[in-house]
Amino acid sequence: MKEHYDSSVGEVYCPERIELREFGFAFFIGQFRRHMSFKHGRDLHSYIQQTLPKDVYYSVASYRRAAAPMADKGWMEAELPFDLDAEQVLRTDNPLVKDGWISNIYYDEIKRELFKLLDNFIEADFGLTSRDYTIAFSGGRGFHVRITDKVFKELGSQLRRQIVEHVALGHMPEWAPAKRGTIAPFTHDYGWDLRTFSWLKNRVAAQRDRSSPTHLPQRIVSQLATASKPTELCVRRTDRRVLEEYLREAMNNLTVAIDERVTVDLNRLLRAAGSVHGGSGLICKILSKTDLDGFEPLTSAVMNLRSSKRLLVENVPLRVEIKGESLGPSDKGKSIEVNSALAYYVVVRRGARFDIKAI
Amino acid sequence: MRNRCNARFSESAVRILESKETSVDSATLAARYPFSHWGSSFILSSWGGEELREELLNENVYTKLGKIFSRTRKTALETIPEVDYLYPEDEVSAYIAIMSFLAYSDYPENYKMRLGGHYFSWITRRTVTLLESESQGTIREYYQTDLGLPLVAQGDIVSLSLKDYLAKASKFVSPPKRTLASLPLRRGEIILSKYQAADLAGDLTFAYLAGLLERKIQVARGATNKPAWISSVQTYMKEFLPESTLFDEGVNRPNDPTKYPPCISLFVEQLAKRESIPHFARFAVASFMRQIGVEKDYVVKLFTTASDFRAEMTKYQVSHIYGEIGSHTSYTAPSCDSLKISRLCPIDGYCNPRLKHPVSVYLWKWRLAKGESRRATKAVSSTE
Ligand code: SF4
Repeated sequence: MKEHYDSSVGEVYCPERIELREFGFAFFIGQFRRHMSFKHGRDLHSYIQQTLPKDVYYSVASYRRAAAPMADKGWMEAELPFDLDAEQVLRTDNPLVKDGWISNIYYDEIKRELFKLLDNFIEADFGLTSRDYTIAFSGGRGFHVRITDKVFKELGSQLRRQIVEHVALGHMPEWAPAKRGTIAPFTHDYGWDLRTFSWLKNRVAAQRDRSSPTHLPQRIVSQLATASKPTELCVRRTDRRVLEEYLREAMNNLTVAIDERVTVDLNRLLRAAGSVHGGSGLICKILSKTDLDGFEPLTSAVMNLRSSKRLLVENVPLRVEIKGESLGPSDKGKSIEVNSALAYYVVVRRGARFDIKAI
Repeated sequence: MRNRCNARFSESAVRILESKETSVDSATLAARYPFSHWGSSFILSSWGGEELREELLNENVYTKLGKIFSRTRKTALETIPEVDYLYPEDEVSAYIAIMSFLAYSDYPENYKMRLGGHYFSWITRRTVTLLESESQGTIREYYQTDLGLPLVAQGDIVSLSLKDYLAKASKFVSPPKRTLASLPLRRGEIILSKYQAADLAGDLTFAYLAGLLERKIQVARGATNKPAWISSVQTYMKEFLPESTLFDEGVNRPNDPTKYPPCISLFVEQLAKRESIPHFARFAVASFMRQIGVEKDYVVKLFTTASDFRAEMTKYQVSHIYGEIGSHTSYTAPSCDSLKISRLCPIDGYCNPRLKHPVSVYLWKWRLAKGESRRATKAVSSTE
């Protein structure tokens, strides 16, 4: 940490009006200090260099008195945060993911979910542009998005919860009576109705290619093929049940399983961009949407370290490569010298320990 | 409530017949929408001020008050309340009389808000039906002047900026019932047909009136002199609002832990065992207790056994949830779906698939135990 922050502390991001944000720090000895504030970015940077915290956080909220106890802070507004964490977003019980051993394949899947959040919800539904949000790799198992638009910053928990429901639960069509005893699943041509309708159309197209068969009745398939907008679809009452199965599948595919607790919490502390994630050794890195495609955490978010360390490898369950050096399952039991960034990454996950004899 | 609104929204969306659009005079609009700027202008031009005088409370007005509140005791609100076009002043007087009665009467404040809720759902239903047959211009005037939301006409449809909508919704005591996910969103705009605009206006009107009543109650709290006619209205209303309805409406309702839904029982039990429970579960407990009418101090006590209890912080957070500090918004408990996505619901499926809210589940169990509600009994047979 010292080696990294000695040269790169200036990369720790200082939010606008930094004096209004609450900062929190976790230390290697297990202590957590919060309710701190800094007048200037340079004060924050020198505090980090002096104390070498394991983790650095700052509040999504701005307060009149950021360093005061919670009851006296005087809440003003809060960025609207979204946390995409591997375990939740990928809806997986994989113990490796739980322990933070995440391969690039998994990171790519999380990125796909992140693009869904940005393209389908934040931009297509809310009408925000890249100027209205920031994206950061969390340094660990996923990504953070903070919406910084003024109106969204002033939303209370209840509307924030509605936003979570919009993104994470979706909206099953409302069904309404239509012409000649039929029923129409969709009641308008926008938002969730349009998204679900387009998904159904694609699903049916995939069926025609025989790449993904469905058991939808032919009459629905042909209607879906010709309908140009959601409200044109009318089905027999008896077809409702079968169509609903697919609508549920659509919800599963189209929603993004963000962490609700983070989004609705008006006083949340989130990891500071540019700081090191103490639990992984990777940097919480600010990214633009265009950076995302080529972004690989184990290449682009590693600490700026020149030193190396000798390790006794215990169990590295997947091959991890950082700065051209790698460790993997076949290295079990070996004593190997690797660069400090890779050493930190595997030691902190208990995949190896420092080789004391070598020290 | 939400389902009912949503269903209504859907019906509007597929309506085929266009309504006749006629130009209407402002007295008619005042009779239809007595709470609107048309109502206020009517008061100014007819009475020269907002003060409701005793002589305006004629028999017709009293009958209206009785009708409105006798309907609240039955749940049947099916018929659309008629508009008295012959006497628009009576419509306006009835509205002012009800709001003042609710603000100044001696009832507990949460009961006043609940009564207000009944009245507002009655009047907003009427508003939606009436707005559906107004011209697009009248609907836009209503949105702009009364709701403070400019609509942009795009041929037959109108659009409303999502940011304007959210900014407005966040100012309400509780946000509109219609969820964000159900709105026709396109790149930051809500795209509405005339019927959908009317329907959304109903939702917003409800939230607007609830906020207005809350402010009036706050003003009345410190007021030394009530309007002279309040006591006669209150005496009259006693017939429609006997003591027993207070109980039915959630006032002085006993806190019966045996009727808590499994999620709340579990959280309370975990707190008692000094286990640490997630922040959202604590929020669920406190907001649940608030909604079923439990005193704040009781809730603070529940948390004293928590492993990380800090008296000041807990009091602060609970007061916040009770709407006593901060934004003065009292929080409602999270729905079953919200608890489920946070993995805090301890059961598979729902306690009652028709209710999907811990508070409704509690009231349902409680009513069931009293053998009181036909609806409750029906719900049981449907889940067994
Ligand atoms: S279904 Fe709802 S009320 Fe029942 S335990 Fe789950 S969250 Fe609680």
